Amino acid sequence: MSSPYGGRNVETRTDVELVEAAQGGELAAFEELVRRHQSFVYGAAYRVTRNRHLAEDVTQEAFFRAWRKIDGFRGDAQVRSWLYRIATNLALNAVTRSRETPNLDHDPTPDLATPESAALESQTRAALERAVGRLPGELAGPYRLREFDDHTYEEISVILGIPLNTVRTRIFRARKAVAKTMEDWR
Amino acid sequence: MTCDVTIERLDAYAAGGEPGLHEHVLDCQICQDRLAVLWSAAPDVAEKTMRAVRADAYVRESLELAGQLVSDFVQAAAYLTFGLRKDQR
Repeated sequence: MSSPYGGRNVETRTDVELVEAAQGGELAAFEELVRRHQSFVYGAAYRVTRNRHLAEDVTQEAFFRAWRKIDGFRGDAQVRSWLYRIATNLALNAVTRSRETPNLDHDPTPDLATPESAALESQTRAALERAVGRLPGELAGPYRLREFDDHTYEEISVILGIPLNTVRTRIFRARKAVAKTMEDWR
Repeated sequence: MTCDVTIERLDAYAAGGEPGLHEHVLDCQICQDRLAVLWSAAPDVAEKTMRAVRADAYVRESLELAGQLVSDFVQAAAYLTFGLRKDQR
């Protein structure tokens, strides 16, 4: 099926353009939507389920539902909000179902870790350490205290002797930088 | 565009708390941008998802094609049985 965006790299298109192209049957456009929003959708699913496997299943199911309903997507809505809504509803349903199946209530990943997944986790941890190591000192300090040592913003403010708002800003900037580095790593 | 939700509250929301923020987050692009940063590390499910989507697209196309074939067959059978319709003469 022809698309008005034909030939243009999917990565440069807006979400709405991708949806329109997907509505016209362009699978590459839908795939770009999946790649662009999968982390966000997974995060939304994990927030509700607190279970990695369940969250992963919900993420896949959410995008599949989105694909099925794509013709009904209204252009005036935000694509991310639409996906968020689908994912949250599915996650709530998944949690309800998992309560009826006690085995799914806890995340079994640590018990079932394979040598491959353990190696991957170790590589990820090393990459994260490198990413944090590249941060400027003013960002790395608050970031480490928050993410690795689990201190509150108030405690970090006292420990480092900087205002609370500065702590918040620096941690936010650090997270953004680390996320960018990890994205490049992946 | 402004948003007065604090980073602490959004942090708590991201971790599964602050249920009262849910409706707000559904429509707030600022909160969603912040959450996208917090939730940026996740497993890659694109490949698996697209496998299911491609299969679905294939089935749908096949069904459309099958429907078209049946429709053509019925028309051909009607033609052979009853000849041309009045408007086609």
